[in-house]
Amino acid sequence: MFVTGDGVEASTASDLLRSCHDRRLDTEGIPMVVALVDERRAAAAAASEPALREGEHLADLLDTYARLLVPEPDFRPGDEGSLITALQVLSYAHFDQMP
Amino acid sequence: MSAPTVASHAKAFRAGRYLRVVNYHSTPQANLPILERELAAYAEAFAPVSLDDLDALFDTGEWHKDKPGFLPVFYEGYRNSAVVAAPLCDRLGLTAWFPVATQFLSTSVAHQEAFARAHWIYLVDEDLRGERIAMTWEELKQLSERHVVFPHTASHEGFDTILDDDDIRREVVQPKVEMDAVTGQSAPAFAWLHGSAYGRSALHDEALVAAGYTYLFSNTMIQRLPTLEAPSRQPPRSSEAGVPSHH
Repeated sequence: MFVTGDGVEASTASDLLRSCHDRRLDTEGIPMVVALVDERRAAAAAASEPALREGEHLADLLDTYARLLVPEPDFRPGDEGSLITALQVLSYAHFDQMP
Repeated sequence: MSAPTVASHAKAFRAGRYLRVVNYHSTPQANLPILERELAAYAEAFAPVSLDDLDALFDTGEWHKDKPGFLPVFYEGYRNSAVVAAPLCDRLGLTAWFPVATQFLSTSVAHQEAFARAHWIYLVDEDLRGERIAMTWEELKQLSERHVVFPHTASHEGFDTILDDDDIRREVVQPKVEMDAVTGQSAPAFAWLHGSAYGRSALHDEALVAAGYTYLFSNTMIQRLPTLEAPSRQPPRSSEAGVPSHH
């Protein structure tokens, strides 16, 4: 077991992954933090300060879970399943957590 | 075109471009107390997201409410989405989003169980004991007056099984035509089975835009689609196989 710079242990990440996959779909929802992507233009409008602050925190967590759960070379860059896995754990563990 | 990766999502999050969604499927009456506890907690912590709110967020980048936005999304078109989940969302002041496999609603009651089992629609025991499994078109119309309804294909299909113009017409175009005729609105969004994203297949991307959809809900993104007048910034990549699914 080790602790990352973000305070998330590798064993904790694995336990969270199992927990969020063991849920019953008829008794609880599947939380996901999803990205907003505007396919009309390259540069999206600027976000508000609270969203930027929280987004920084969420991005750090996403990077941490990706590093712990779906690292290269076992998972190739661009593997959408890897992204989904890291997002599932992030969303399951931190959905209502503000920085 | 936006290939969804950890890096692209981290970049979007750091730019403040994200929203919270919670995906639901069958919501049986027997589990209403559990659902109510869960949704009440979300309603306390977050603010509802209407279609106007989503439009404004994409157009301005600014979220204009005190609490972060949250979308409860009820997939497939189950009867209990209309009679259990929607009334609960009404009581809690939440705007719910309903991606509906339109042919599920049009299938005769006698064959709805077989339709569900043939098309990856997950059933619980209570679904089999009611008078019907899918909501009616009239119930969908009523939902559209308070919430957001949109097609989830006709027969709950992934884009990897939609191969030609007839498939596109049946699974992409016709669901919107039928839904708009019932609701008197323009269905604003679409979702594939398996939650595939825009940017994977030119055939499917162009079909979504030509059909008049504004948003695509995928596993990891809500994408604001280009319009016919303003095509995508880059040509989409070639088609790929399905990805792990929540839907």
